[in-house]
Amino acid sequence: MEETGKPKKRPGMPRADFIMGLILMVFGLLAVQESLRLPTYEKDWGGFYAAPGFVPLILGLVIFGMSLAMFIRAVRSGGARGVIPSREAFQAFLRSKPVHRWCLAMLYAWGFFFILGRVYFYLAAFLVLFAFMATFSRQKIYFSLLISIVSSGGIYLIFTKIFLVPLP
Amino acid sequence: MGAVELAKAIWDLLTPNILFSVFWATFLGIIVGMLPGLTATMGIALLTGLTFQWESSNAIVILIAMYVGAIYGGSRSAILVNIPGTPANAATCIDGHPLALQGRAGEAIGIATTSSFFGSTIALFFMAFFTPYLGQIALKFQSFEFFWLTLFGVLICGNLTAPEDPLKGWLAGFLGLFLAMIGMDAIQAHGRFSYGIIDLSGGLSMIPALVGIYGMTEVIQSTVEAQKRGVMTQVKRVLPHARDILSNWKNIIRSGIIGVFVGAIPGVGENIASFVSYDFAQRASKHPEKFGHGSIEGLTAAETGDNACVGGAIIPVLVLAVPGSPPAAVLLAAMWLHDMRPGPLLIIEAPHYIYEVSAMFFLASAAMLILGLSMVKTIVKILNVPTTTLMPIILVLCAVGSFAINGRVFDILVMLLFGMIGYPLRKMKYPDAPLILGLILGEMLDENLRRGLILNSGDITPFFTRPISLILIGFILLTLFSRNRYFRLGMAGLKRATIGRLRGLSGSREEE
Repeated sequence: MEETGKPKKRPGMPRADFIMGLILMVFGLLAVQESLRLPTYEKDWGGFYAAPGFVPLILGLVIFGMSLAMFIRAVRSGGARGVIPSREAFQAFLRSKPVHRWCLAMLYAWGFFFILGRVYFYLAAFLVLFAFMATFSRQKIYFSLLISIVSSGGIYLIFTKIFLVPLP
Repeated sequence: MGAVELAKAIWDLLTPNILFSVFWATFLGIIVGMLPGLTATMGIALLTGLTFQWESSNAIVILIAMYVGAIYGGSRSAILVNIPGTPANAATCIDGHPLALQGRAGEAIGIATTSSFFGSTIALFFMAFFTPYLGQIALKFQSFEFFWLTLFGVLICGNLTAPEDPLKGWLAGFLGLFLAMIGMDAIQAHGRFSYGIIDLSGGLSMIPALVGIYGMTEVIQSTVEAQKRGVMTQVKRVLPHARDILSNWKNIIRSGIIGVFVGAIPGVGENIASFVSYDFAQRASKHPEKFGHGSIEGLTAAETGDNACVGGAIIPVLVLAVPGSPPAAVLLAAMWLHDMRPGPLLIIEAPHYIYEVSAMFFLASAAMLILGLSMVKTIVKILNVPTTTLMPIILVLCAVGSFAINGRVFDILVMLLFGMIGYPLRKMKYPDAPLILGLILGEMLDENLRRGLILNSGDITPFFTRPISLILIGFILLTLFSRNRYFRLGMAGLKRATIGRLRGLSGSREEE
């Protein structure tokens, strides 16, 4: 017999599932549409089952179906409430430390990507290492500088001389 | 027969060059596993790129040593600071850290080391002596069976890696399958979803995607969440007492076998193996109340299970080209990169390869035992390196590892994008493993479904009538509906009815 009194706990995170369900539903539909645009080769290969878009079409439909199920579950659990945050909540989100840390981490990672190939690899590696350590580490700045120089030089030497790996 | 071939394979590998590679890669693996945030999958993915130019056998032995070392190495931080170095060692924390708090950290490390070695030995037995038989069964697999196997792999992986919400596990798996559709298809070589981007015409590069999901995601997560580590406990005597091992022999064998079988299930992995082994050990124990408070049995079970799973996960890689765990998925990708073709035909084309890989696994396990019982006090000092110093170095290594294979900056972009996608997915509790498994198995699923249909002019009957297909369909249905309330009620009703009928039969016989 089922437990009575307590409401049954639904799995998942309603608000995140609501948003992700929507995103994945759109993704699934786009996958279906794009799969149908691929050539079918029906004359040469016998039927639509041989088409390059056949499996992506099925996968798109399955992703759509699953995300729809998650979306409905999220709506039933009240996930649609408060999806659009209030101004205060949005400002608090923007002021939160994890968001700042994420933005800085992304800035450094993408910055590293964009300078690769434009400057020497060991210089690019030194810059990203020092920027990361100077921002996020609690150690003294000269110590971060020293570790960055040693690490970037070490990575360069180990991979070019021992592993014989080409560097960007 | 198998024993002779295994011994010969081990003998052939006993060269200074290979032994040096095994020891340094296992040592590096222990360090990678020990440092929270660095996983076995990430370590293997990074080393795959870095050893790409090396001779195949040397490169593969390095990757296997990294795998074995990292899965074992995670027990160090689990015991000393109560943070599992890799997800595989989460069950080790339960009894490992309480032992450390009792001043028995060294003893716990010694037991974890020997248990890991015994787990590996049991797995070696299955790898060397059962894999050839499984290979014979794998020869019966045709397109129909491969299609169901890949589908089963993604579904069971989603089910077990997202126990709270399997739907998210399945969605992650199907997203991975869809991402694998990018690039030229295997039958008509028609470009799909590449939109004129030449770098995408060959499909998403596997290793950069894996490095992104496991490496870059960890860099982002550690930086954003500024995780702190616990206080490290002192290490004294490391060598375990013989009585602790001898009194646990049944536990070791049981956990080893469980580890191997869980490992052989596609994509499931070491974390599940260690928890299942731990659970079985607790049920079988005479002192279940000690579990969670520093039980030697619990620690033994967890560590035996996860290291046995390593060997178990390599078995389907060899005979079916289907990985048993995320690190094994990278190992499979690395084998492909080195022009090795694991799969059903391996047993015909290169049967010796099974013994070679088993020998590599044995050497890595032996190196793990030697390194694990020595230099403990020195090695654990690495745990004092702050995450904020380590993570930027990992970021640079991720870029190098992604670039090294094809020499394309585009692969670094793929790595970064997968890292960016991986972090929110992880926060929303979408597991990584099914996504990666889907990415690896996608091509196999696509090719086999369409080939099966083309060969039978669109007739789907063979997909549902062949015996192995039927077994796999049964497993898939069980995976899909095992958590369904009506299914469970139905099964409970069936069980009651069967028991009632059996009782009725025995009652009528007694009357007669």
